[in-house]
Amino acid sequence: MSLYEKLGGAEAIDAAVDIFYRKVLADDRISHFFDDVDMDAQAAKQKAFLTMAFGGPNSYTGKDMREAHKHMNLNETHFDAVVENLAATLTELGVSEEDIGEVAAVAASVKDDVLNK
Amino acid sequence: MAKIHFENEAYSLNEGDSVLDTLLEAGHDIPFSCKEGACQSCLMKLEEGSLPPESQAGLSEVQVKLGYFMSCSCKPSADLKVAQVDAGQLTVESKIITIDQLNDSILRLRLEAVFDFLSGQYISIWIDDNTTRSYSLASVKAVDNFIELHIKVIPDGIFSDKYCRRLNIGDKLKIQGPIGKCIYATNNKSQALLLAGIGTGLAPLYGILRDALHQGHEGPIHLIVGAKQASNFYLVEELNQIAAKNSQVKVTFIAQENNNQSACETGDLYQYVAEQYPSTKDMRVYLCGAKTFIKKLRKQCFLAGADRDCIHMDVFLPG
Repeated sequence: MSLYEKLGGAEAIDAAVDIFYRKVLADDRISHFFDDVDMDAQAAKQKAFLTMAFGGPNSYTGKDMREAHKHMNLNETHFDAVVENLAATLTELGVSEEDIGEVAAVAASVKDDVLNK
Repeated sequence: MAKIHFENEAYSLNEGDSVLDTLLEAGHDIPFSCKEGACQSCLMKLEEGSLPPESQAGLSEVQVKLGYFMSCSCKPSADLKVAQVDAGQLTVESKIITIDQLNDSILRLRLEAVFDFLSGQYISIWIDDNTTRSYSLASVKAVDNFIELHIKVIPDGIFSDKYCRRLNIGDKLKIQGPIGKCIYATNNKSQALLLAGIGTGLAPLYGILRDALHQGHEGPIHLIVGAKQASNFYLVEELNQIAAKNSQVKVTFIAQENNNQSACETGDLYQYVAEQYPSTKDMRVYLCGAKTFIKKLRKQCFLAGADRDCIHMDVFLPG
């Protein structure tokens, strides 16, 4: 069973998006990237990202990741901040350490695309 | 490149352009107003092809079945054949019952309730074949049985000044709607509600507040009305009376500048909300007014804990 199914599918992701997005907006390391974005559009993107990270049905590709982040001049700190917020979200949702590790591994797999390496 | 087939011609859609942009550029007279997928005055009808879902967001089930879509929000990736919808099919006539002045710059228009509506929704008024203006509904259908609009008169404004000032009781207006989801909707009658608006953002909030009370809402309701100057406030007496009669209701008027003329708070609305509500967790929030105001306060309330789907918004777009 994927973590996506374990957490409760699409509905659970909606709840996770709110928690995750709130943490990201409150994080001084990365919040400025979100100043001018449309909240609904951004939430939809985060939902797609979380669905992928949790092993749910998704159409996310490395190319999308690369294209979306290309002009943002991101570095390791930014990437780490997102992964930390993701882990904290999962902890808040009562996800086990082991499963969090699995999600972090999926996130790490797109790192080069995000940082445009 | 996708093509738009319209009245026996085909037009290529430029990257990023909507069906509306394309047809306007080709010289067609397509009615439109907000260009942001809200007013629905640019509705067209699909004849062939498939529509991007966002072009039908907020439309009624019947409208979707009829193939209506908002041409301003329609950026298809494949060819579409489309047709114009006769305004007569979108609108109904409603007679003006009363017109009065709420303060120096705000008119109150009451119209016959020619359709069912929920307080906080909005309608578009057709001024001529190509021009509409949208206004939010301040009345409660079950209580008032009329449509009430608060209209800020903008000097030389096409509707609010030039058109509105010539209107008389008994005149008929062509109206379209109701549209929108910024309404009193909760299964939890004891949930705390925060209603915040600036200017005529009070109109939908006035409706939502009275609708909530009519439906027996028991939880605390805090209405916060902001304005630049204390003299901009309206319906002050009426709102204070509602608060006096209903112990769960609190009404706050907050002005940036107060020339000592009224009993209102002075200061910054965002800061006031932050101080009063360090946590908005589990609250239901209604925000009405200009886009910048809503964007800022929405983010603030979301960060303070309110769920995204518990923040309702009525964004006022320039016509």
